[in-house]
Amino acid sequence: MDDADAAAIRTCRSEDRQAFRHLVEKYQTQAIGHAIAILGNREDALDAVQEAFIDAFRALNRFDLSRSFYPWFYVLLRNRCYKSSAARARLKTDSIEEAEILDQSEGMHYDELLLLDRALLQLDPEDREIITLKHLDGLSYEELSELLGIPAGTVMSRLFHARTRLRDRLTRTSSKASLR
Amino acid sequence: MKTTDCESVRMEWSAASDGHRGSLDPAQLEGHLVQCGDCRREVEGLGGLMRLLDSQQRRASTDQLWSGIEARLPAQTSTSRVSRDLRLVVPTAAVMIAYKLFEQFTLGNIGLKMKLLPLLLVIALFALLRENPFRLNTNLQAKGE
Repeated sequence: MDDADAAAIRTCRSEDRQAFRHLVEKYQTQAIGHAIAILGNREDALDAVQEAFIDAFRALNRFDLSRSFYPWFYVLLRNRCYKSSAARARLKTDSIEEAEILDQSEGMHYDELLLLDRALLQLDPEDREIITLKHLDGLSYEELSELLGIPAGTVMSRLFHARTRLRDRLTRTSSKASLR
Repeated sequence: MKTTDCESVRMEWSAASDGHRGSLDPAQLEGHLVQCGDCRREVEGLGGLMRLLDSQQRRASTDQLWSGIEARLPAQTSTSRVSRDLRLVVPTAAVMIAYKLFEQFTLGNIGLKMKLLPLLLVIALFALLRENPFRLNTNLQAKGE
């Protein structure tokens, strides 16, 4: 556990709300990125992250200081995201003009990036979540297993099926694009 | 003996490419791929996708959430609110129970003493272990999930 995080949590527990600011500012960028990957939408993601931080503040007394803050917080965040995702209609990705999840990387044309981003957005939230955690955050199977609360064997099969579905989406989108 | 059907080979290959050791050994995987053209094409496609994804980065957000969160934070964390309430309730309850026990014991009611003794022992045990018997374990998960 990071010392500064532990100190902030102890201070929050003694009823100093300002100490919580340290945690929000430290983890908000990461949390927003993860929420966008699940929800596929920036506005909903910002709402979910805010709600999750409020949930975390309420539950801080149950937090075990020997653990890291973010994996614990991530459980609250994904609960919020999946609740929000269930209540919302499926994403319409055709009209998306700007990449939501991915950032422009060297050697890749923006149209290709947009194509990949759209294909990711067309996946189910669970598929999008596991693919982005694996490839954009570089988590190992053990880390994915801990973060998602599933055995490593399940990580293996979920990741495989998610990638297969993504590849199918990309193939379909590319052939559609080449027909135009 | 494990069967090396195409789907499990593809899945195991994908895991092995991630550095995860599955249930099939590399020789079994290699052996199947040499013989099966469909699987070879499939894993080439998946490999290309994995390399493409590995070269990507997450779009970083510059949003600042603190002001919105601060305005909505409750006055205190839940247990500290409970603790404050308990600070009032526990001494009052302790005094009332002590008075009742004193009243009963001085009357010489042996049956009640025998009923209360195990309860007192259990309370003493939990106090000694610093354990709350009513605490819910939120980390429990269903097996196989």
